[in-house]
Amino acid sequence: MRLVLLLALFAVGFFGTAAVIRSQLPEPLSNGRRLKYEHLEAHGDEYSMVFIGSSRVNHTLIPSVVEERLAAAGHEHRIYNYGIAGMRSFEADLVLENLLELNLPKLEIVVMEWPDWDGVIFSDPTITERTVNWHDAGRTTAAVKSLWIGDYTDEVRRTESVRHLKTFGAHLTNYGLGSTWLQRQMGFETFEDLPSEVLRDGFAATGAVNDGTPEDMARRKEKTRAMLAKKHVLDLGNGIEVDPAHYQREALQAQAELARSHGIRLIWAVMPGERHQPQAWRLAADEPELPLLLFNSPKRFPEAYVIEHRWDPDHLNEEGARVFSASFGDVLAKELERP
Amino acid sequence: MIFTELRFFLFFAVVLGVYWALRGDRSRKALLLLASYGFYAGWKWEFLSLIVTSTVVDYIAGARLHRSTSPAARKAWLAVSLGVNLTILGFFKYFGWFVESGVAFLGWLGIGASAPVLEVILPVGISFYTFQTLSYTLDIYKRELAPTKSFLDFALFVAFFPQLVAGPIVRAVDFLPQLTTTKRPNDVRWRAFLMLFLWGYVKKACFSDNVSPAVEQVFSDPLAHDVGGNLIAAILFHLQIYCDFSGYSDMAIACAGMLGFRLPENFAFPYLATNMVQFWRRWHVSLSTWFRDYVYIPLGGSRVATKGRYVANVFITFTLSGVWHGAQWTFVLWGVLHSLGLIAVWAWGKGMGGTGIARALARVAWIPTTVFVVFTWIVFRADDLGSLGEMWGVLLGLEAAGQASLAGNWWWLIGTFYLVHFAMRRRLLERALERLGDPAFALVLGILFALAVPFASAGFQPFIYFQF
Repeated sequence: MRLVLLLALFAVGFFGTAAVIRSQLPEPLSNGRRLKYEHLEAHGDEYSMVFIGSSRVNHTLIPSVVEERLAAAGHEHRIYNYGIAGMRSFEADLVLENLLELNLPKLEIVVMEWPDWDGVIFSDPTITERTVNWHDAGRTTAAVKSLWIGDYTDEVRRTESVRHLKTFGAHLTNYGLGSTWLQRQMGFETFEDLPSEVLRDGFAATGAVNDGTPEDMARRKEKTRAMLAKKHVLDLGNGIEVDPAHYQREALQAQAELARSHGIRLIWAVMPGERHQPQAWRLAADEPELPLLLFNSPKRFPEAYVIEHRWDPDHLNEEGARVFSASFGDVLAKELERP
Repeated sequence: MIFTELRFFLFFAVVLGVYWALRGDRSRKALLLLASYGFYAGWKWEFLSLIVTSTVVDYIAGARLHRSTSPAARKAWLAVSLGVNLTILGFFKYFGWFVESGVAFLGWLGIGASAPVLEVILPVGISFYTFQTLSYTLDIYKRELAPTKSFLDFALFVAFFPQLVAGPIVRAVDFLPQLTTTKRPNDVRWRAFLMLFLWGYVKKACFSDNVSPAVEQVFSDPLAHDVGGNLIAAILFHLQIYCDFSGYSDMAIACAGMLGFRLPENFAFPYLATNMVQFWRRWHVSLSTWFRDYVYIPLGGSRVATKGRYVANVFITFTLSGVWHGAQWTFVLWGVLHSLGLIAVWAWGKGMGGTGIARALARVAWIPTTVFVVFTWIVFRADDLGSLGEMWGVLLGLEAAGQASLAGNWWWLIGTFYLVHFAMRRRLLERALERLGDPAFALVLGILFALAVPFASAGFQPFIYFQF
């Protein structure tokens, strides 16, 4: 009995302190996440609409272009692009939560990149500050669940689940976060600062980020051509069977509820990349009232699927972003007119 | 499995729980042996056969040595023990080095030679457990120890997992008697061992692993870095190797302690030493005493007729100590330099001991001692003699320094290390915690672990001494 009491006290000391430390941790630094958060913390009262998503959002949606199209349709908005390279559904969900907690006075609308809730996130097994950050109990559960309801091999399910649980452990204990901070103080683990013009509206063009070597560029071009050659398969209705049970509908519901509880209108958007996202198409067909915009359609948005406008199979180049942002603005304006 | 990994924590928690739940001594020892073999098999199960071979050979050799009355037979059994153990050690640790050195030497003589490349993987901890088992047969040969009748006890002595892969090197004379007494959890100094485990963890995971990238960066290319960068890296390695190795030893002693066993102290604040003799009484004590008892004293030690013989004894002992650390000329040179350091201290004591100058200089002797230790650690860490020359060259102004540098913030970390080191010497935290009752201690320990874990480097490094 005494041993149990002592172990309990140890656990209280350990997890209690870890929780206090965690509550004081700033946003993760990499890929400008903290800088954008701090920008919104300081200047958030300017914005009435925020886009959240991965690099597909960050390098694609030019706020000024979207603002113009919305204004032309009678919707005055000031937009911030909160796209962060490498951001997956679960992290984006946390970013939304943190954004809503800022209680920005003018914020009315958040456009989220469509969350695929894909639990396979560890292309690189290294546990990063960002993955540790979002691996709270709820999101870890959702990530593991997605592995077991999705079309994955048992091997993938097992290895990825273990990684999620390890990362959850790191989240609970703040494992490695002080070390990462220390390495930064010592000049290791450098990060790219965002220039002030990027921070102002959050948009960063693909080319401005990294064009890579001529060989990289040629390889990207080749992959893009290959993607464009089979672009007809992107539109649903081309034979892709979707099992709705493979989608975490309740996670989507929770995201919508969260936004609603803060008085924010939430709209999801599938960006014009190479991913089919068949569940999104299926949901849009089954539930037309869902605020879901599908842009991964070469038929509807041919301008996003021409080689001149693409940087790689998943991203547009700056010119493509400009052209597509206008289309995006028009579609969004129509969506805003829905009750 | 590394002591700082979560899976070791889980492994140890299970072993500890089951161990104290068992009632009989024999079943507890069987559990520990099983756990030790499992722990080692986690590295590479095939190498378990080496440990088992050493165990069987030395168990039999020990029994026969004790039973034999004929000096020739006793020598033969000792030769069997030494032969088998040193052959295994020599093959796995030194074979490639001998071949490469031989080919290089022939090349230097102008004789072109090539040798088949044989990739030999070094079994983790082989130097440690080999020396441990050798101490058993050597002590029996010297009639200082009676062999154990229990094979289980002997096997556990060889393979006891807390100190199996990186020491401290335990003598049979110290460990085997501990296996004949019944352990009780109430006899364990839990608080002391839990604190020791925490300190070990902090030293290894929070300090050593975090300075590793900076050390690696400069040591891999000293000429690319400026003098400051080379100096910081040299000092950081000086701290890293201490934190790494003493951290491991602390955790090993703590784990053994929680199982009711006492392992010898391996470090006694060596970086506070004011001369090289003191340093070697405080650094890797279990190894230095092993060399003292089984090499230096059998050679005659300091009780020899001539000064030259004494100097030779020190030289041989420390050169062998260098070779023990690894199959590289840098380790040999490191051993040679340390022998010269010890001889210099001895010569100074002979010539100047007791004089006013000696007394005055003794007050600042920490500085030259530390500089010497730092400079010789560069030899130890350098990838080869060429990069050693580059780093020494940059630091001494003999080589053009590069432009790259290390952040000045490292100096703060170095300063912090010394402050903490002095505080630990005075046991400030332990004294404060001694006043707490058990419940408060448990709570505070949890808080301390929660403060340490974030600083554990996610890209952890294996313990440096695992390679020896």
